[in-house]
Amino acid sequence: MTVRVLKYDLDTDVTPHAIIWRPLRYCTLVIRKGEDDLDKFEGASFAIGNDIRFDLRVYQGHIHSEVTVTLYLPDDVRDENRVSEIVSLVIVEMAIPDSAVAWRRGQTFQFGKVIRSPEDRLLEREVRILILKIAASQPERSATIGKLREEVPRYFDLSPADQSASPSRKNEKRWQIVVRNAISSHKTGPQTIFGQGWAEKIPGGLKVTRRGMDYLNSIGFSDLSGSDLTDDE
Amino acid sequence: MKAYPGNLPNRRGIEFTTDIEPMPGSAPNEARWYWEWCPKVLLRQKDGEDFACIPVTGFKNMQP
Repeated sequence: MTVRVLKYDLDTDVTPHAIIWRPLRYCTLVIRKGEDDLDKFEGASFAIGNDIRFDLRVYQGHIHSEVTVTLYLPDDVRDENRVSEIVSLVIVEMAIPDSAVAWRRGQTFQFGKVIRSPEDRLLEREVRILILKIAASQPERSATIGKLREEVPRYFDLSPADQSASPSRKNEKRWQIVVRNAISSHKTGPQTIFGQGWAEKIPGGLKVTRRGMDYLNSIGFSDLSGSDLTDDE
Repeated sequence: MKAYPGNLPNRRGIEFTTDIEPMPGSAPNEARWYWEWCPKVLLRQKDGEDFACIPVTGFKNMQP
């Protein structure tokens, strides 16, 4: 399935059903500003198929607003099983790891407390997509490893485990090694972004291909046509 | 009716406390009350517009 970015916001009231421990910019490039009877927010609207509409929003007063987004469904989606089904679908289709879900409808909670899973840290399977997103956000849709390392902390709330020293390279942190591994030359297996044809290597970094942009479009990160890319890319 | 849980440090808004439990549809970062689902939530009208109202036990106006 494909997550499509909608050009217009949902013309209905919405209800929060999940909180994801990722910044809004991690989820999508297509961010607009809005305001409702609660407050001002930044967010984006999406569709999956013909029936599912949802918003990702960050209100100014949300706790952990710098590092979380809240998933909203239209008010008329009330059946608990349907809500759960849609939340699960959104997480899968937007390539968001389960560990990033800090709360979802049906789980108990305490007002004013959003707790990140202790399991949530930057792993290689997630960083592959993350560096693709970061490179796609850069001029020429390319980035050096230095640029990727500079940008990763803006897109991902690095946990204490991520920030601990690497056992193999004492002068580097674990997350920096994970980023290095994701683009290193020996990682050309079918699961890598290079093996998938989503990116190609350039000196010192990577460049996102047309297929890579198509993939990012399919997970709602972007809605670019890729028309400025040649067929070779 | 929607509100952020907790205080409103350095933010404009209305800070209040209430004994009325927030309703289903709330989330850890957002409390909500709906008049048609909760008998303790009152419906009041002003200038032809409907407002959901809840009794408050404390109130601080932090509008500029």
